[in-house]
Amino acid sequence: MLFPTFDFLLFVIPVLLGTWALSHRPLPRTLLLLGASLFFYMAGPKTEPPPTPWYYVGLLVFSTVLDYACGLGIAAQDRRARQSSDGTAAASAQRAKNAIFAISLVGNLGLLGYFKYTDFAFSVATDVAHALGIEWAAPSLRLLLPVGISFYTFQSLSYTIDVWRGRLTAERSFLKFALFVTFFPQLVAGPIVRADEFLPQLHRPPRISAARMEEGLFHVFKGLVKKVVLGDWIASQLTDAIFASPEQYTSAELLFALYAFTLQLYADFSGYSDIAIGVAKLMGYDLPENFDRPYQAKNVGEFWRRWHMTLSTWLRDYLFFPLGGSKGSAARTYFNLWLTMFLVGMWHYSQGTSWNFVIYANLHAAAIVFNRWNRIRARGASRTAELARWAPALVAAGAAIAWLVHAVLDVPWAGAWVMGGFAVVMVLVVAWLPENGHWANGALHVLLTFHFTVLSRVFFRAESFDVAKRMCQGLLAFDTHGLRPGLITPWVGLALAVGCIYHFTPRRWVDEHGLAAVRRLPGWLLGLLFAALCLGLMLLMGSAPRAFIYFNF
Amino acid sequence: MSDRDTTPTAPGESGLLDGEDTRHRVELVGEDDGGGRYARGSFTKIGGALATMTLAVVASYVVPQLSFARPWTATEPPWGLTALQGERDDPVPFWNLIGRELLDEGAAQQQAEQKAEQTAAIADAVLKVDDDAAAPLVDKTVIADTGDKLPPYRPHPDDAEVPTQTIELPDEGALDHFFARLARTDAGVAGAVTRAVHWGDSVVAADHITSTLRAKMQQRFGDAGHGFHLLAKPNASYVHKAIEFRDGEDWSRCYIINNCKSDGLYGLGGTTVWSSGGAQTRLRTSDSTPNGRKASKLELWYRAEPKGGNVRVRVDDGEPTVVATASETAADGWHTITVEDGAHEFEIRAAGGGKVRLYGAVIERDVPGVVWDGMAQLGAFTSRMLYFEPAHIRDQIAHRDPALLVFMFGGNDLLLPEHRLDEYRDTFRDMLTRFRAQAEPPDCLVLSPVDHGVRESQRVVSNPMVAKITAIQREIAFEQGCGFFDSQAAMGGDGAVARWRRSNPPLISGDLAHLTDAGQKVLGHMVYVALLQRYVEYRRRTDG
Repeated sequence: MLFPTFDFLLFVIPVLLGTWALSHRPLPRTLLLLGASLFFYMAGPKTEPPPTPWYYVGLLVFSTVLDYACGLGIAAQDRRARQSSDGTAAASAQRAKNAIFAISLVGNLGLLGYFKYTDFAFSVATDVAHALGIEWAAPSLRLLLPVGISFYTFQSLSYTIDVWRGRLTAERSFLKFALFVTFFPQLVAGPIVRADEFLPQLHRPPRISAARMEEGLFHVFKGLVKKVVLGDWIASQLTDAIFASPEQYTSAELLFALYAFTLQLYADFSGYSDIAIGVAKLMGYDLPENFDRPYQAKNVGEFWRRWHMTLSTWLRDYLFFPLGGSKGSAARTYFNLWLTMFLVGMWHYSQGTSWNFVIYANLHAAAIVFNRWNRIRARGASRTAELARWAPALVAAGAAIAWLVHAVLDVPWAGAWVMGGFAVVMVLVVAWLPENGHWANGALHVLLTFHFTVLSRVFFRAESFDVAKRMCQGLLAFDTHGLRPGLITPWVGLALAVGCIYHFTPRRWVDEHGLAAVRRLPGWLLGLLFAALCLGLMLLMGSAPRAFIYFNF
Repeated sequence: MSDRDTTPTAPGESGLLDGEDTRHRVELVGEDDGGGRYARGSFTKIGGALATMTLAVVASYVVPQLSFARPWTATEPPWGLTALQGERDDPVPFWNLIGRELLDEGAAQQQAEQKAEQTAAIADAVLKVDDDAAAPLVDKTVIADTGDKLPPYRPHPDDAEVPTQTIELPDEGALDHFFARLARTDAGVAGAVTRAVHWGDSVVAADHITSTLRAKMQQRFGDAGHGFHLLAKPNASYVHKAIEFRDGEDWSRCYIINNCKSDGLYGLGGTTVWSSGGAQTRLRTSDSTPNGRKASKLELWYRAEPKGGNVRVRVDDGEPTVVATASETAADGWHTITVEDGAHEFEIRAAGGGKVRLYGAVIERDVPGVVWDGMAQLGAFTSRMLYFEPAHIRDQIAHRDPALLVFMFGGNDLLLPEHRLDEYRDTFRDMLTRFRAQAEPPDCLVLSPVDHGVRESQRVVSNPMVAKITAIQREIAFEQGCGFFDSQAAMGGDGAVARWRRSNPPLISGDLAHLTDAGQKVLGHMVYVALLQRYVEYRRRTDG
């Protein structure tokens, strides 16, 4: 189900009323929320493309039952191992514990891998075969991606991993565990809520108060505006058309579309997260924040701390740290950094995009590796001497980038050399410019990080590798046609300007003042405002919100 | 300096992967006992807000003046609830369960899925062929033009493909002149060049439909050159495949849809350029595609005028030829430069002596083959084609001597209000008659607009105007003796836009109006197969 739809309004009002009515009766309330969550998953509106059939809920149920059973099994074996005085029995229990954990891992990641990455693996195999001169085409299974599988798999896995590592006690109640996995506000597009964040909330009464209701309403209102005005509307008015046929647009228009998409993506996803957080709060539960003005980041490491925080911190805590984090050798640390960021990038892979996300993931992984090296490197006294020392490596790197851009993206040599040179200049500026000191230093780092993010979005947004190539070719053609009149209407321009201003203001300005405004307004007026907003959205969008971009993942 | 055990220090401390694992064990203890009573007023504000919203929704159904605000309507409401009546037919709420499963709309959905699979199969077959990777085309064996009867038709492997949509003909022989010339080309008769001139709106803007037709027809019948090309881009979307086009930025230019030349002399391609000196264009045969690799002549299309200047044409590194456009009387002119058949670069430069006004250049070969001119008129309503001065466009076409004129307009005309459809009928007729005013007009083929979508509720449906414009174009095409190809039907009929959008890769872009490159290639292939089917029928009919 999509949040900004009439269906959701019909759904959520009775659910809210029921939850409040049953707020003092834990079992019926849990049953109501569990039933509502499963209904939410199955009863999506008719969209284009149509939602996956209702019985895909079976995968969600399977994942839930598997991890619930594995959690109990792991806890039991752990208890056996600890209580056993017999070393052999303890070792056997430990092996059994690990085996059960492996079942959970294989079950969850197997499903995710099968539905999300099988076709990609086949297309990679085909490409490799062609590169080797073998005429072979792997079959395309055209698998439907179960909605939310990337989110609930990670969420559910966090539980078994924590229980296995002894950081969380196993949940005895199946109903509570099932509600943790399926809780509808975050079920299909996050935030990714971890077991240790949500399960404890199910062991106490929901926290309901007038102040929290106001916070919930504010989150929902903010999310709706972001999602529909800055997300859907910009897409329908500008970016969809440009990304569909990039060769029909000028270099400046393609660049403009990338800026617009960068804003659109933020609005789309953070808007969804806001609504999810708000709706959960109205029911008395807390979900973690997922965004913190990401484009204000001064480096890529900070960007990923501010963007889709629940995914990036998930991979940090469940992959980077267990791999040894930054405690091993330099090579090991860089490998850990690269692998973690590569998987963050690849998590976003959506069907049909071929190599796009491999490039996207590697770009961000390379940036974060460079970022670390730059921060801990020994700094010489003379920058000129440093430049002289780096010059050969920089020239080689620039040439390598130019060659890759030319060979992989089919960009003519002139454009490829410009790209290589541009990358080298960016590296030099980032390496030499301190992030602190004068405010302009920080601002320039923000600008550079923002532009790295914007440019890498080519591979995030393009629907196929071919489209990504044509985007790059168009961008690097540097034609002189500029922005043609009529392409960007004043309203779209205004929406983009407001979106930028919104994003680059301190978060508390909006949050504190917005929340204060909600607190001042009477309920009936808030209701009228919501109704007017919904009407505006309906008329503006022909009552047709696009699915959230992150539904693809 | 070693990185071992080194943790970055400020200011980079804030990075995602800095710091250490500080999470602690969490015990799931305690039990939800339902808690105590909530403070008074906990639900006052949210209750008021929800009640007001609910009332607002109810009011939109109760108060007729608020009917525009109804969030859900149906043309035939269920259970006789006339209050829910509206112009939109929104899917039933919770469609995936109620509509799809309980109301059995899944069957219709399944039909749509089957059509989508058919589309995917066609697209897969077409797109997996990398036309550009094929070897350069080999010329046909040429036979002398003795005027004798052609040898009998020899079936070709492409003939086996069944078209998704056939070309509709007002009478059996509507395209016979075109096919007769094509048959001579097919047989390899010396000098038998078959030309088609293909105008269209943005759907052909990036030359994908036209380049697909050009490549496939040339692969099948022989490559007689790239054909007509403008000397400056009328817009950024003007791109042709299988030719390299450079410079052209310094020309002053006028694009027909801007109605910027009161004399109506825009040249065959709809864009005229002029310069008093310095502007130049370079056109070079392709070195990366199987077709378009050779040229044996360049024909410069220009306006001869009393104070006309000179044009300098240089072929490769050779001595330039100066073409004087000065003339006692103003008239359209042409100048042909012949070269040895092969790869060439042509440089066309305004060389002073007065202002030169040019229409374009034709690059061709004197071998049996097909030339398919791509004449994209981005953003053009059909009515814009009436900006051509009638005698001018008649003579331009006559000089080009095409065997077939192809028209693919209508995408922009969908914006016309319904009450202007009669006017549109006249406009479309006027365009065909104006372009075919020659003593012996070429055959013609109308390709209707591609399916366009509108978002209705959470669905994408076909714009109902597509069917109306298609019907008018079919009617006028038949009236004028032209062949007709129903693009929407070829795409899969009503609702095709949604399926083409969902295809992987998408065949129609997010604006639900423009085919993607892949989509244009697929549609170009469909037109090619449909043309071949009629050609084979013609050969079987006439061979006996």
